[in-house]
Amino acid sequence: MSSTATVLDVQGLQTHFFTHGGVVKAVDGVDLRIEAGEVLGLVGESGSGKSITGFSILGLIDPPGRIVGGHIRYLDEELVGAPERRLQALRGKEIAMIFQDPMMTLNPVLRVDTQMVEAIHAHAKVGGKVSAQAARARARDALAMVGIPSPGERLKAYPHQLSGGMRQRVAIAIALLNRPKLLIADEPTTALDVTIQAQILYEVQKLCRETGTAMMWITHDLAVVSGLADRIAVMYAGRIVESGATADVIGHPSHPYTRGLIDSIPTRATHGTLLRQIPGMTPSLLNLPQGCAFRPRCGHASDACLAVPQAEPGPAGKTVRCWNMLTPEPA
Amino acid sequence: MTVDTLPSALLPPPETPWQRLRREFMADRLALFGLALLALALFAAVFAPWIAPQNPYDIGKLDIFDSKLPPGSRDAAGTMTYWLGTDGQARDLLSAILYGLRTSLLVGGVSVAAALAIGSAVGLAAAYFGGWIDALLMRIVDIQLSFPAILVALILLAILGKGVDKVILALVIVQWAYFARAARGAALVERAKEYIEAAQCMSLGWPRVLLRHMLPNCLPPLIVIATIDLAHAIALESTLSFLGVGVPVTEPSLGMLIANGYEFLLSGNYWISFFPGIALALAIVGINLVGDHLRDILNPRNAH
Amino acid sequence: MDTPVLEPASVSTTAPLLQLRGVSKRFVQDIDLAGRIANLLGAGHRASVVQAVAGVDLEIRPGEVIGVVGESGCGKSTLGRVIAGITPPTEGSVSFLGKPVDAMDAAERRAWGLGVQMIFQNPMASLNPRMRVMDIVGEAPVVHGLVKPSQEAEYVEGLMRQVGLDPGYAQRYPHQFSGGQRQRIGIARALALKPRLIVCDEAVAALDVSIQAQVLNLFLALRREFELTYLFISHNLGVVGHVSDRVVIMYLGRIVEVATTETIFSAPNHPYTQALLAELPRLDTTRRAYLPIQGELPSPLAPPPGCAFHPRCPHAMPRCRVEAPVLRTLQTGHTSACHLNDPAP
Repeated sequence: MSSTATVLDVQGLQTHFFTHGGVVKAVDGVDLRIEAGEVLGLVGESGSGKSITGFSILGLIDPPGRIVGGHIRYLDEELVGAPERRLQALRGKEIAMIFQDPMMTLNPVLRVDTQMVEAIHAHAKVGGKVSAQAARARARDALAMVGIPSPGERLKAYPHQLSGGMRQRVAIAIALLNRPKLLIADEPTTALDVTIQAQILYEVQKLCRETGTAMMWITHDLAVVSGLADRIAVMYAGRIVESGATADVIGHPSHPYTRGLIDSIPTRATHGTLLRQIPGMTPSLLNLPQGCAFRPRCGHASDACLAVPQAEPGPAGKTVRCWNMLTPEPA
Repeated sequence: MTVDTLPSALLPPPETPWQRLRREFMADRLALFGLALLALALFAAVFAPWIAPQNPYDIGKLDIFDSKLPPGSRDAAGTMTYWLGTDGQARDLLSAILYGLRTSLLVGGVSVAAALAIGSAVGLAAAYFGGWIDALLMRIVDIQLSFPAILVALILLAILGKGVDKVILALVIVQWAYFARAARGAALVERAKEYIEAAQCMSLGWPRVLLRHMLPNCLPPLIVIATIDLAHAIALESTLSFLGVGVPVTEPSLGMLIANGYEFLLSGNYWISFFPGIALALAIVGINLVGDHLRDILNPRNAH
Repeated sequence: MDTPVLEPASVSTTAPLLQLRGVSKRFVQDIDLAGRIANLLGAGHRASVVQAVAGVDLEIRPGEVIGVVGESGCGKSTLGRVIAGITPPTEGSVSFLGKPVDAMDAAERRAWGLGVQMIFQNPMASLNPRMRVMDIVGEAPVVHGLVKPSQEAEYVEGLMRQVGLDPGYAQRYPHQFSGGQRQRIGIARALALKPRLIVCDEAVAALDVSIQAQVLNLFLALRREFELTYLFISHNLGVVGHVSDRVVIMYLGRIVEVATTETIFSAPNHPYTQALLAELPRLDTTRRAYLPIQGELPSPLAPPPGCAFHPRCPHAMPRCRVEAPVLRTLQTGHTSACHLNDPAP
C-alpha cells in the first residue's frame, strides 16, 4: 500500500429495478472506499446485491434497472450520470472487470491473441498507435504474468481449447492488459476446482502487489476472501451491514448476520456438532421487512430494529449497521 | 429443524403452468386476433351443416341456371342471396367455403395429431434408449426427411387412390419425421437433467419415466411445431387438391375449390377462386399467429 | 460457545451395507459412420474412451457417513451413480447387503433399487418442473406399494414436516420455491422410499452458506432419526470434514487415499491429499500466502501414464512415471496409493 489515494469512493449508492412485480431495491444505500493497492472483499449471499454493486460501478446496469441515487467517485470523478462515452473509455482501461464465467469475457469464435490485441487497440492512446507486433508482445507478456505456461502457443488457441482455469486466467490477463487502477472481480473462482482456485488466488495476489491495482473481490465465500482481502464489507439485502479490516470483521464480528455466516461454515473443527445456523431465508427484495432487513432472522432483534439502522462507527474502526451490535466474545 | 418463515396460508394460491400460459397468451393483441380467426374457422367448420345456407353437395338442390353468378346476386327462385356468388356448378360459394374449411381443418388437424403422436414416440424412444435404437430410428427419419414432401405425397396418393382418409395417411407419413427429430432434440435436453436420473434411481421403470416425466417436459416445443405444422398440412393438402390428387370432388377442401375456380379466373369470374383463397389465407394466418405467440411464451420460461 | 453436540451415531461393525470390488466405468464414444469411412481412407480416428472410474474397492458400513472428495474429472459423481444403480459398472461388482447385484433375484434387486437413493446437486434440474411437490415426493412410494394411494397425502405431508417444509406447500411447483427449499424437497423424495443408504452428490454445493448450514444440520438430524448411511460426495474438503466419519480421496478415477476424518486432516499421507488440505480456503484473520501446486487437472481422455498425479507431484520419482501405485494399508483403516510408502526397489 504505497499511496493513500482513494481509487473508489461510493456513497449511498441505490440501484433499483422497476419490474412488473414491483420495485426491486437490489442495492439500497451502499458506502465503500478502496485505496490504491488495497483488496476489498465484498461478501454476501444470493440476493444481497453484491454483483449489482459491481455492475453499477461500471455503469453496466440495463433497464429495467437504473441507479437512482448516491455517488460513485473514481479518483474524484463522478461516475453516476456520466456520459456513456466516458464510461466506455474507462471500462477496460482504468476500471476492469472479471466475471464468474470467463466466457462472459471471451468470444468463443475468436482466438485469444485476436481478442487481446483488440482490447489493446481499443484503448491505445490517441495519437500513439500500437503496432501489431508490440501489441502481440504485450499480450504474450500478460499471459506469462498470469502464470500461463507456453504463452506463445496459448495465444493461438480458441477459448474452447483451454480448460476452465486457463480461460479464467486469460480473462484476468485481458482485464490487466491496460494496467487498470481498479479491478472488480465477481466470483471469479467459484466455478473452479480447489487447486486451480488456489493458483488463481496466488497469481492475483502477486499481481496486485506488483502493479498496485486496487481490487474489489465479490464473493459468497468468506474463507476465500479472508485470506486475500485487506478489508471486508458484508452485504445483506442491498445494504452493507458491516465493514472493516479483515481481522476485525472475522475475528470479532459485530453484526449478528456476520456472526451467523461465520458460524455456518462447516470445518473439521465443527465435526459432529450442529452448526449454529441462521433460521429462515433471505427476504424477497420485492417485499422487504420493515426496518432492518435481517430482523425476522435475528436472535438479537428488539423493537428498535423496526427502524432501518444507520451505518454507525463500531468497535475496532469498523462501520456497522445494527442497533444491537454484538459485544466481542472472549477469545 | 426450522420451518420456513412464511406460512403457506398467507401466500397467494399457486399458479399452474397452464394458468400462467393462459394469462400470458391473453397479453398479446395480435395473438388474440389470431386465436379469434382460428376460433371462427373452427366454429364454421364444426357447425357448417347447420349454418350454411345451402348444402352445396346435394346435387338435387342445385339449379344449373344459377351458375357463375357474381357475389350478392339472388337465385332464380328469389329465396336466397348468394353472398359470395356461385361457382361453375351453381354451388353457393359461402356454403362451399364453410364445408371446405371443414374438410381442410379435419384433414390438417387429424394428420398433425397423428404425426405428433407417432413422431413424439419415436423421438422420445430414440433419445431415452440411445445406442443402436437411436441410430436406427434416426436413420429412418433421415431417409424420410430427404424426400420432398410433395413428391412422397403424390406417389402415395397415386398408389392409394383418392379419399379423405388416404390423404390423411399420406400427410401423416410425410410429417411424422419432422416431429420425431424435434422430439428427440427436446428429449435429449431433458434426458441430461437430473430429475430423469432421480426417476431412474427410484426404479420407476422406463414407460413411466417416458410418459410421466419426459413427455410433459418435451411437449412445449412440440406443441408450437404442431400449430405451425397445421398450417403447412392444410397448405400441402390444398396443393395436392389443386393438383387433382387430393380429396374427392364430393368433399372438396379449400384447395380444391381454388383449383376448380382456376379456369374461370381470367374470364372475369374471379370470386370462384378468390374467396376460398381468402378463407384459406385467413385460417393459416390465424394458426401461425397462435403458434408464433405460443413459441414466444413457452421459450423464455425454460429459463426457470 | 453453546453449540449443541450430537452424540456420534453408532457405527456398526457388522457386515458392510454396500461393497464395491474392482469397479470400473468406461464411457466410449464410438466413431460414427463418417469417421469410419475416413478411417478407411487413412485417417487415424480412434474411439474416445473416458475411464471415469478405475478399479475402485470400497466398503460402506451401516450408519457411517463416508465422504468422497476430488476435483473435476476424478469420477466421484460417476461412482455415486454406480452405487445408486443409475449407471451399471463396466467391470467389477457391486454388492448390497452381502449379495452381488448380478446374482440377485427380483425381490433383492428391488430392495437394492429402493434401498439406495440419491440427492442431486442442481436444485432446479433435479425436480420435474411440471409436477407438484405432492407427486414428486409421493409418486415412487405409491408405485412401489410402500404407501396406499389413499394415504399418500398424509405420508407426503409428514415427510415435508420432517425436512422443514410447510405441508401447505404440497400443491406447488418447483419453480415457486427457493434453492434451499428445493433441496429439501429432494431430500423428502429420497426419504420417501425408506432407504438405507443415501448418496449425496454435491448436494449442498449450489446453496448459499447459511442455507447450506441448515441443510447440513438437517442431514445429521435425519441420520439419527432414520438410521441412515450417507455417501457424501463433494469437492469441498471443509464440508466433508464436518459431516464425515471417513474420507475417500479420488484423483482421475482412482482412489488415492482412505482414512478416518481425523487422520486425513491431521496426518494426510498422499501428496494430493496434502495439497488439497494446504489449499483449502480457511477462515483466517491473517492474510495468507498461497503456495499452490502447479499444473492443470489432467483430462480423463488422456490420463498421464503411471501415477496419474505425477506431473503435479512435488515428490515425483522416476518410478511414478511408469508404474501406477496400488492402495497400501498404512494402518488399520488408513490406505494410500503412493510409491513413497513403498520402500521396495
